[in-house]
Amino acid sequence: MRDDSMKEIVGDFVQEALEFLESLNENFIELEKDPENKELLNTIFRAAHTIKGSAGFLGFQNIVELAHSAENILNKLRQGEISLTPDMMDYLLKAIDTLKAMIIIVSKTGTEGDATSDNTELIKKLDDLAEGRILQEEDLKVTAIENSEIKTVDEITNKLAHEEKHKENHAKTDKRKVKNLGDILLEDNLISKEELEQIYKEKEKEEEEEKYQQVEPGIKQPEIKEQKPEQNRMDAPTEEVPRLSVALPTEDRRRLKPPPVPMPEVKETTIRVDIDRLDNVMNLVGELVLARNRLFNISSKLEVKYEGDDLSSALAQVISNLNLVTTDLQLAVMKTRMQPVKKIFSKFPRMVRDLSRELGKDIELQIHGEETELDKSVIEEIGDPLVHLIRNSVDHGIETKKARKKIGKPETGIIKLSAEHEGNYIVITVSDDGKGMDPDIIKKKAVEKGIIDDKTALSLSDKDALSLIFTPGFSTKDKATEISGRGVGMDVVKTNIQKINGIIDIDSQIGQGSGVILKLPLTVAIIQTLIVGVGEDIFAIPLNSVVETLRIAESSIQTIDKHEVINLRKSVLSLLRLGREFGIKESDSIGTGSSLNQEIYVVVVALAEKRIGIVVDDLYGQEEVVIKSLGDYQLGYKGISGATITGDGKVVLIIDVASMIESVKIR
Amino acid sequence: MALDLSMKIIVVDDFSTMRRIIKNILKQIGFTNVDEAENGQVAISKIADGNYDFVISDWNMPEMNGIELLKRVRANESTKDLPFLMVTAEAKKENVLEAVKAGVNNYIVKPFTAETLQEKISKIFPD
Amino acid sequence: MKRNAGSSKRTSVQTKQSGVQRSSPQGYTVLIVEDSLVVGKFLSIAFNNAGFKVKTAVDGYEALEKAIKDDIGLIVTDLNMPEMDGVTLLKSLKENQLTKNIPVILMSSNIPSENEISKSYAFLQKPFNEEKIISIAKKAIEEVYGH
Repeated sequence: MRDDSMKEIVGDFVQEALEFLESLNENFIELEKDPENKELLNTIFRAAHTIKGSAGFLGFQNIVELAHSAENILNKLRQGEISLTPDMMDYLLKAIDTLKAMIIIVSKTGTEGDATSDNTELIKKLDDLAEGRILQEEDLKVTAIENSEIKTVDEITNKLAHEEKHKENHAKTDKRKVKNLGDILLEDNLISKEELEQIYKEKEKEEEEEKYQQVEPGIKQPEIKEQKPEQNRMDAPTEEVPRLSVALPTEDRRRLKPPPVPMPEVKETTIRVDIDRLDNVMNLVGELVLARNRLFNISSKLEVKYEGDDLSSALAQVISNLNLVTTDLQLAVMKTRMQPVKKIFSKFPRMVRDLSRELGKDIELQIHGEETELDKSVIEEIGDPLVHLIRNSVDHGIETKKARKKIGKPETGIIKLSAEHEGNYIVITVSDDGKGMDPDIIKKKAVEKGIIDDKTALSLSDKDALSLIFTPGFSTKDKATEISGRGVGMDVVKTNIQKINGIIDIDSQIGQGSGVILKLPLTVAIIQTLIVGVGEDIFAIPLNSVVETLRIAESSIQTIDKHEVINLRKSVLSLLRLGREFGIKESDSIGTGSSLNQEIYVVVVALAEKRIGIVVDDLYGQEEVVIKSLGDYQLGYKGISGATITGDGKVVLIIDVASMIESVKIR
Repeated sequence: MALDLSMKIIVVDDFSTMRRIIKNILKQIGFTNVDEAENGQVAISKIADGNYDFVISDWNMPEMNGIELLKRVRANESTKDLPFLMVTAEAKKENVLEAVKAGVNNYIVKPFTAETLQEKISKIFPD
Repeated sequence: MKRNAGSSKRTSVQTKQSGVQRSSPQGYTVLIVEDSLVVGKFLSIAFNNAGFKVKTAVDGYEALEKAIKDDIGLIVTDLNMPEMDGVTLLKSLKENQLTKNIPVILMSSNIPSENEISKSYAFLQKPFNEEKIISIAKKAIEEVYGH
């Protein structure tokens, strides 16, 4: 077959396989909660089978072998010949990871490469597990006989305590001054002396507590006693120690309630379309909307000018029709770009499972509304922020099992991830029932980092304090990045959300949990705006940020601490004069307070819970516009998020509400 | 930085490919006396009889993770000072501090090169 | 090669266009029935390269519909498909007047029973290479439509 044809097929293979593997991950986690689900098993089996089949035609032998082992177990599972054990699950998940890695190599190099040529261990394990039932019975018989020789971990650790003859060799290493991680961190300046002392103190405290509670060393002790002890042939090399897979409910899995998440059938009539083509269509529809607006505008004027004229009435009717069709077209194109959030939500169960296992926590991830649809570009942008938010909940939110038990919470922490429609928005929430955030601690930290001063800290409400975590600089560590890990702060999350015209809000109760709420617009490119005028210029303010509009007298403006404010229903509203902000010559009647009775317009805008009032000369009404990015021209201009052409042909700059609010707060 | 290349090392990881990789890297550095264990229990049992001088263990393993293995090794008189290097997928502050508390000697983030591994080991054994 | 000299031995195949004979095997359209997109594509390209016209279907139902409506000379189908599997498809094809004489080549990664493949022209175990499937396809067409 020709090279380019092959390349095309390989490309399809990679895409198809990766999609399958993603869904496999998701399906496996589901299966863990509902191991007898025939439909699920069939779907999983088919996925493995298909990958194997395709790989076979392309000559990817290693992938075929591994997929075959997985398919084999899955077949037995769906036929009911064997039942799912936690070990089996672990290895199947490992197989998926390995397959994914191999396929990524294929996508990069076009071939399997040789790094992956040895999955024999994994394959053997899978094959062993496939024969599982038989093995277990035999081993049980054997272990009964050799009980006396079997060492439990208990016995071994006791033995260690009394062992004398190894003292020598260990002494050899003891004599050399061996460093501790604590020492090393201190050396490298990755930690301060105080922090280190703190840690040792904590450790002592924990050890004391354990003594008093008489908890046996090693919390997992009971679990191990239940397992059939392994046969420890001391001389046998590692590889031959039989893996006894007894299906015991380990702590991790016991409490997972199976939420009834339906598995929708993937068989639809679909067609793959290049994303560029859709973007192009979207662009064209945008232009069409603009043109329609213009047309509508002119036609309305004509109707007024030539009232009663047949031609202009006819035109008006046609335009009215065009209006409807264009709106429908706009919606339809928008829909083509919409995808269910499931796409990104699907990787979280696995992520939470792995992370919580690593941290020794017991966490259940509940997902709601994964069928809710979002524009593709919005989905792409929220992926990373959501990962960050969920990691936060797992790392910092949910407490350890011990801690939770102590305060009377169920040992299993719950993280809720939900998505739902709310008017023209999608609201995505990440919440947990963990330890919540302490506004006082946050305030303190912000003061330490120089983000706010003591005075401001005192005047901040608890809610505002929580929002401090979104400030750039809040989450950077003082020491080198090695400890801070990925270093993605909440400020980056916020920026990403704002990039797509979304809003982020945070709520928390100490001891009860926290929740982060994302409000995202359904579509990225077309928005409703409020057209305002300042002097001779016109601006557009995104309607989704507008809370209300006011008409007030100049005299009601007060100046506090050099800030202009007004009293709005008992609370203070900071003002921003748009003209002043952009250095526009204000019309003579407004300005330096010469005529205090002059009425001016104030547009109250809000982002999360922050509000300001933007002072303008005129309000011209609502208009739906297509956002056009200014590209390079936009660099360095805070306050402008794009431009558009209004119905009457004027070029109008679109206000970036977020940065406007920022600039008022900073002053 | 005089590393004793005759040290008897045990590599603990449930994924055999990883064990092989680490073993190879150790060989590159010059350590030839390297043994493997596929989980914490086997490791403990081997350490009990094996006269090991150094442990390199993965953090994330099913049933008994690296920290638990470390704690058990530390809980015993004869191995409470057994040098222990933890292999982890990433180094978040909380994890590192937990490792410090548990008594690890150093940690290394995967994937790593031979140089890095050598560096990390050297840090543990000075002069 | 069978000579087409009006001998009564020649089987007259009822195609949709009342017995129109093609000038070469490649004049016939091959219907590829396969639920895996990758394998389907592989086969389409293989047949296209060999000069055949190709139609595709992703399941048994679509295949039946196309086999009846369009002018199909040969059907190559996977055995293991959801909803309607290859054996059922084969049975349905053989029961329908309009399609019972179209040769069918079955493929699967597992080896089926004699029963299952008895009415097919041939069975190929996956994976196989391009040359193999093309040569069997050509043979099937020659034998059935007589060249």
